[in-house]
Amino acid sequence: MTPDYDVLIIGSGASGGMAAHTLTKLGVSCLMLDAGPLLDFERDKSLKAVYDLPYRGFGEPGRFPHVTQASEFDANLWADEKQNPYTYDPKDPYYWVRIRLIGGKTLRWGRASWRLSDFEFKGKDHDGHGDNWPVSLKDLAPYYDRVEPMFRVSGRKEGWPQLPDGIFLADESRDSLSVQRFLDSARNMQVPTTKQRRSTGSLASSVNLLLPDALMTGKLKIVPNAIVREISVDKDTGRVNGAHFVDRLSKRDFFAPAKAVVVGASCLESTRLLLNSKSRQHANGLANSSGVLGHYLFDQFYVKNVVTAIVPEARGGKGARNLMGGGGYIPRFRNLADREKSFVRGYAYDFGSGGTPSAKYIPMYGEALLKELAELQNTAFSLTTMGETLPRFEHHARINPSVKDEWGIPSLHITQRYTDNEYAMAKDSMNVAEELCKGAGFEVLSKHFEMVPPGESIHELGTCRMGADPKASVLNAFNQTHDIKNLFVMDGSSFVSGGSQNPTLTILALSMRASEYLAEGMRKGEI
Amino acid sequence: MKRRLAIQSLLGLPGISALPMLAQQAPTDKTKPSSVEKLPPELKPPPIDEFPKLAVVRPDAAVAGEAKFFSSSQLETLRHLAGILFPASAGRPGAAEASAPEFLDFLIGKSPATRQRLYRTGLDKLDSDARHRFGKSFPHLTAVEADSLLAALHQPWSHQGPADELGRFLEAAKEDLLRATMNSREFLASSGQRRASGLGTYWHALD
Repeated sequence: MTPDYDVLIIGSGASGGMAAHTLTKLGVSCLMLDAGPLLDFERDKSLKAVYDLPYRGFGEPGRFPHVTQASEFDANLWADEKQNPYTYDPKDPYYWVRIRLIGGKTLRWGRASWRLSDFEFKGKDHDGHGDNWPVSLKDLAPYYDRVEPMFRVSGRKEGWPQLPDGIFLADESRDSLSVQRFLDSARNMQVPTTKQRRSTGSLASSVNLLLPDALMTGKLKIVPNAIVREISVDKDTGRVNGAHFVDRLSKRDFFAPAKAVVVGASCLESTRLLLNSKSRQHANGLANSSGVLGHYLFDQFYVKNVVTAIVPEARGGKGARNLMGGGGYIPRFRNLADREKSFVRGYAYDFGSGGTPSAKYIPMYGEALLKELAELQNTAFSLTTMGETLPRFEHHARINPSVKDEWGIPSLHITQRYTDNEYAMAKDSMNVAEELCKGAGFEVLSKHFEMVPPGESIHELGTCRMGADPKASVLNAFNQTHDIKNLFVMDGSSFVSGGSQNPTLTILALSMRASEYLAEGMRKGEI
Repeated sequence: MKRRLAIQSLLGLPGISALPMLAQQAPTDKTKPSSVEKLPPELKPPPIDEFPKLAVVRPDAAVAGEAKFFSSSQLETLRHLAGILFPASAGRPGAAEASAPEFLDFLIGKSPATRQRLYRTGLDKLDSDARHRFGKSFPHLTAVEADSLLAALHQPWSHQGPADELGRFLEAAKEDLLRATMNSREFLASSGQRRASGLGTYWHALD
């Protein structure tokens, strides 16, 4: 006999994990489905030498044409691109980077944990571009306050409106001399700098911080390897009543019934699922009366190593012991009080001191190159730009019925390209980074403003956006679909804009807030 | 007993229960403990419940790989290029000692067609330029002669990369040969430092 679940949660990463954590603590019984297996941290990994790998660390050629993050060591953790195909116009490549495991991308995220500000939530009010979110920082701050301690976020308070402070483990670490010089240069240019804000601990994932507590309540069942084909709608009530899924290994079909459904399968997978859940009543996909589902796809553009410099005093290992090491963050500083001429919104940087610059930057070979590489050990200083991408209706994901995954589920065709605004921002970031390095007395080895292809930052957002107007958005301010009361989408697809801050902390806060709203609605019998 | 362990190891089986025929022999051993006890220590069988873990090596640690992708003249050109780009130095093996050209024959042979084309046309161009300019094949050039064909490697890096095909090939070959060398058993063993031994956390294939 099938138990009666209150809520079906699809996905086990940041949003699904937080939904399970929040709902089960409030007494709501949940069934969680995830498309991937559960990692066994003892059985599934071991130490190996790079020369004992079949491809000497290069990785199997062609296995991951779009996952530049995959190494030969961790290749088995990333979603297989042949089993899970997707398409794009060859002129506009899109790098869709996925992980299909219990815990999702929280198993491999960079842990950067920044709050969004009202420069993002109410961006239209500030510069007239795009749309406002139906929530403000004031609405989300109490949830950020609770998420940060759960994820043991370290950082330093600054009091900046564009990068709201939070509840941090105080980072009082000392900066290396090279970082101090860089900070001085930034101060001279009136560019703000701060410590990184990162989730700490040996593992900072849904699998250790969210799911164990949820399981302890006795209110959660997790089914791995459950690939959801379609969310099901009760023809009489118009409400969702569960989901059809296929077991990844046996390919046996199942139906999971529930009183409400939370979708948190990651931005594009959630939207793919809604678009694939077509019926006579929902011919364009579930919760898509607005026609907006799949549209306004955006992310954050990255310019990796926008500038790579060397700290001259560190050459030959001759510098002081505390010369190199460490790093920090530069938050958005453009278009806050003033308006720049060439673009709207802004960008941030990660910067780091230490390591050896890549041999490709050194125009030598043979003995001379090897000597120079030895000389340049631990001399590098580099910055990476993370810029805001403007959401546009024409950037979208749609179902491509002619391409199906290994389980026969239609895949996505994805369209996103960077536009003049992003190019102008990227170029500005290169010039500023160069000036910052020169101001610190560093020797610039390379500079460029080539953005990685859309998607590669793994910060895909939008396509299922929130909004006050049901005709122009999919979700309301509580991640509840306008069309179907008992259907919620709690991941990054709900974003209206993204700023330059990494999105995971906001996904966690949104999911916690929406889950409490859902639990309360169920308690009152309104959902 | 050694044969039993060897068979288990070859089959990848965890224990004797997986081999019924051999398992039947176990009671016989038990019924004659005195005969086993009389054996000298070196002939005594290991405990019956031992799960052996035998030391094995990857094929390239035991024998050379067979070159299959490049033509013999392309491979000779690559070997000469590798020797010039990454010679043995200060007690450390170079690309040749690390069998980097032979490894790249395997790697490029498995790579997408665009990369294969880059290498094949690049190696052919290097050789034809050598013949045109010096009247001999690239593998017969001196280091000084070869340097005049490797001008692209003296150019400052740009994100767009060199405009010509030979330059793009040389840039790729420099990066690949260096990595294939530095990640080799020979190179890492020569460093003698645990930190530099190229160890990493490997995630096995999941069910």
